[in-house]
Amino acid sequence: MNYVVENHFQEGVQLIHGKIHGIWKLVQGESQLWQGANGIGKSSFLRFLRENEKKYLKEVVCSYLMQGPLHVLGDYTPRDLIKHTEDYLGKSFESSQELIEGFKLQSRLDTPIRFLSGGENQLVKLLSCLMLSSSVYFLDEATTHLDEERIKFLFDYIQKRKKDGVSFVLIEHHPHASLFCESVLKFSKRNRLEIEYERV
Amino acid sequence: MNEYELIMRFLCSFFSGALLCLGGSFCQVYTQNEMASPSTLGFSGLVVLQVIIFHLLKTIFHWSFPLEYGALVLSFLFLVVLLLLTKSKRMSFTKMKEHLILLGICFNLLVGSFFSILYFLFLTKALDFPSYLWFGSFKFVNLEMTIISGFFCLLALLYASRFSSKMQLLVYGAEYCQNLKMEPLKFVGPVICLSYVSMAITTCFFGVFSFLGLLFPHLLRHFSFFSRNLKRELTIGPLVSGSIFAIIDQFTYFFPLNGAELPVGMITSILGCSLFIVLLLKKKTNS
Repeated sequence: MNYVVENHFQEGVQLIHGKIHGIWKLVQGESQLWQGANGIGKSSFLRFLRENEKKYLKEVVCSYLMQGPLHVLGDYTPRDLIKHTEDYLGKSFESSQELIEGFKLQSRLDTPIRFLSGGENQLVKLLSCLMLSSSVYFLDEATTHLDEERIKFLFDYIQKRKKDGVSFVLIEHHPHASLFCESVLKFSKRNRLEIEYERV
Repeated sequence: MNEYELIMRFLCSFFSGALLCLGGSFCQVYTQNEMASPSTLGFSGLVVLQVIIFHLLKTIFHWSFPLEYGALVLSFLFLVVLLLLTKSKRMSFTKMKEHLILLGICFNLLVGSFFSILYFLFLTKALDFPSYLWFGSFKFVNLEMTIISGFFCLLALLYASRFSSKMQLLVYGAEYCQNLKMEPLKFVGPVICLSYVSMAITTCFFGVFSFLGLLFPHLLRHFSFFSRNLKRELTIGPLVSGSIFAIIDQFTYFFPLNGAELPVGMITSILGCSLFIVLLLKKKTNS
């Protein structure tokens, strides 16, 4: 099994909720569901990994979708966001077109992001995350505010990308998410925050 | 004023307008808060405090060193000490909460009260006090001030033009920048320093121009040429703002009221405060 990520937190690492203990693994081309009660520390652990990316995720290129809306200063539109991303990275993104069509954002590309609804804002966030060429995508509550049609597109898109060897980590409460995940990272709390990796 | 002094006055007002506009844009981009500016974040109060402290020291120890330069040096020293003290602390690049803006404004009011009390005490002792400071003007400019403000204006513009493409990404937030492997924290130091220095130079030399750093970026973004283009806002924007500010100042010089020149800082205070109220009301309506 080709693990792209394998981190042992046996010594315990301090998060906001307390020390985390356990082993976290991620296989190339798999989707992993992080399960645990609300407020147990799943998002905190994700934030911790992001802040310590160089130490715990040094072998992989990651993109993150964190909780909360995309806040933009000024009247920048989704089209501006795509253009600025392309200008910065020096390449155009064919995947952005597929995502725009799948998320049905064509008519909202020229609307300032701050005037978009909660669901549309979430879609633009997803677009900005998924259009990048990464090997691991961390998606925290990606389906928030989305309708069933767009959730289906998202999950189908994830399945398609996995065939290219891309891995996904989902912090998700949608009931269908567990149906296509190959592994689960279970969060539990006794004296400390425990994580347990399990292949499904 | 003779022709030479008028030219220096024009240049000083131009550089000040450009510096404050740039400082305001930097504050807003970095904090992702359209109400952020060197004034609303408390920088103006901080610099006025340095001026008061230096004036007190100057009075107590009978120093002959000019107030404007002494206060500027003190402001720079304060900045260096602050940078050294906060070097090891991480500043998280998240949308600043409105209460920090409120804190900045309250700090300005506190310094203002302190300023008024000291002014009263100095008056009772018939001692000199820089009361002109509170509403800035360009009545007393000289060549050194013109050169120093011009130099820092050029430095700030060079920095802005060098990094405006990367700073463009900051408008979308920290998470977006980190996904592109662009570390927003590396802009913290230079951006905050440049905003603070722009406020320090204009306040120590010419007095307080409240809310100018808030007013100009918003004014620029009303025009499609600057809206949604941070590079233009940070490079051409300050030149336009400086020109507008210089024209307003020339207007106050050539059209005095009952023989007295209205300090241009008074005009900017009224305009800036009005804009702040409009922004707050607009924010409430939008939410």
